[in-house]
Amino acid sequence: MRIGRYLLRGWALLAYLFLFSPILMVVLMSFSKSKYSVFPIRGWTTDWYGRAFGDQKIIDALQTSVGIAVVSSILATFIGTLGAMALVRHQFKLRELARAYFLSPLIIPEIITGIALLSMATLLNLQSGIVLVVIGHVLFGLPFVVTVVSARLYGFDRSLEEAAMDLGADEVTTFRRITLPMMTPAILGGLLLSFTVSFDNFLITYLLAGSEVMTIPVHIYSMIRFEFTPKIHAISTVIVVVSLTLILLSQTQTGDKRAAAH
Amino acid sequence: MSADAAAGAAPASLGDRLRSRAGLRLGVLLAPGFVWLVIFFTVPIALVLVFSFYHFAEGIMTPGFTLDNYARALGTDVYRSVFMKTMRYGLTVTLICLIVGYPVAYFVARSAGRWRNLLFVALIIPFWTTIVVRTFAWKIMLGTNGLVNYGLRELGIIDMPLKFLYTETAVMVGLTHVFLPFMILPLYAVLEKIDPVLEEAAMDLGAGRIRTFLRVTLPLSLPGVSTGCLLVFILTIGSFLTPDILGGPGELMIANVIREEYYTTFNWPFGGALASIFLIITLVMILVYNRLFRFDKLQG
Repeated sequence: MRIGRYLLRGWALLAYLFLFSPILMVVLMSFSKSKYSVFPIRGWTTDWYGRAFGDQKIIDALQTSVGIAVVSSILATFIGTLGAMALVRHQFKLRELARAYFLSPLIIPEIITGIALLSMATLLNLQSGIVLVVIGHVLFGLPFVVTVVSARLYGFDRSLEEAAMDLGADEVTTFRRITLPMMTPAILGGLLLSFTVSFDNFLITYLLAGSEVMTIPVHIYSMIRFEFTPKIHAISTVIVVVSLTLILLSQTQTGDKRAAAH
Repeated sequence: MSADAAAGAAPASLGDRLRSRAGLRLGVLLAPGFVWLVIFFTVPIALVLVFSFYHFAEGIMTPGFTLDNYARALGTDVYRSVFMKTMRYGLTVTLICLIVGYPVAYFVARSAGRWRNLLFVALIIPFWTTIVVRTFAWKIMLGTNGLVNYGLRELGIIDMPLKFLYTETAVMVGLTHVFLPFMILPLYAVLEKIDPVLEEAAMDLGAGRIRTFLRVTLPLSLPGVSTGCLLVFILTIGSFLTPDILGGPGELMIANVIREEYYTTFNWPFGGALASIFLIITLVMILVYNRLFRFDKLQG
């Protein structure tokens, strides 16, 4: 009896170790004095952070990433929130199909979405890489926003709205004073999730950005491929910390119950 | 406003009025999403399909209708083997993730309250760490002077560093690392809802641990198993970055080859044919899954 439990615990421990050791290693390496990524680490420094933030290319890439993520997460959150309201609050034929349609960008291989948008852009002679990237990132943000906002709407007691109407509030007032405040945490949660989806995205950006637009994941990729420097460790650590902060924030917005159900 | 005024002028029945207003509202709510998805998702994918029937000669794509691209994609050994390898990687990684992930999900689901939350949040961390960083980390880990070789040498298992990078092993490790959370999270969601009382009841009635697991826990967790397997399989076969960074030329998967066709040889019709076959495989998987497990019903 006991042995089974220990085995299970040991197995879980090893799995967590497997999941975390590469990430922790990058964080450790970012403080390593050596120019090469070698073990064991012999001496510590915070130099690489200074150099990474002194690198104009990295700063530019960070700015581009944040800009793209801000625009695409706002768009995805606006569109997705409306979609979630339609899916939860209205009865209509093919509703489940409509929901599946909103979620489908996650399940269709990203490479296909990428070359599809490339084909369309070429046909329309659309040359702005940054616009294409935003279009693609909105597609990937939508499923997250729709899921999070729908969950909140399902759990919401409609009698509150009915009560407001009974007390003489019109639809607009009811929406503004009851529905919207109730939805706000989920909307913020969706905003943070879609921001992170965009900020972390590699493949769509890599395929569509063109040579002028460089986001931080694409820049890290090109550093891995072409000019290895320990600055990668430092900047990787920074963006992991940024992503995780945003995700933990979104978890507090969407509430513990949602966190458990994910 | 104007809808109200119009409805007030023409004495429509209350039902009609509500129905049309609700219809209007539904339309307004759905329109932005549908317009976005149709214009930027469905139509572009349809374009890929259309181009896949076009001719291609001397670097130029010309409209027309030919099945040559498909014949070449399915009839050439190189491309067939890339498809087969992609499927094989998908199956292998799905199986590894299931075997590794199931006990972990079970362990987390059966942990006491505060521990469970902590372990759960811990699962989200790798999930939301960008794939570029995770893959890069494995490149360093598996290198000649990386942590893995260092550990093996310290433990006295090897004398000379092993070559992991640019091998199938490296790609498998990288893919498992990237997609394991996609297996654990749906499994956890299902296992957490299974009342431990059911297991206790089975044991009180004389079933052993293994029998209890096989007859109670496992059947009840099958929806999570199927969702996790579908997710991991579909995401794995779409991988681009992991084989690109951790694999050698022999480990290229279908996404890498499609990118080559679009960006290096510019043979969009042929790349389109590869992409279309790939798309069809993915859709068939989803439809089969839907038939077997009623995905839409589970979501509710």
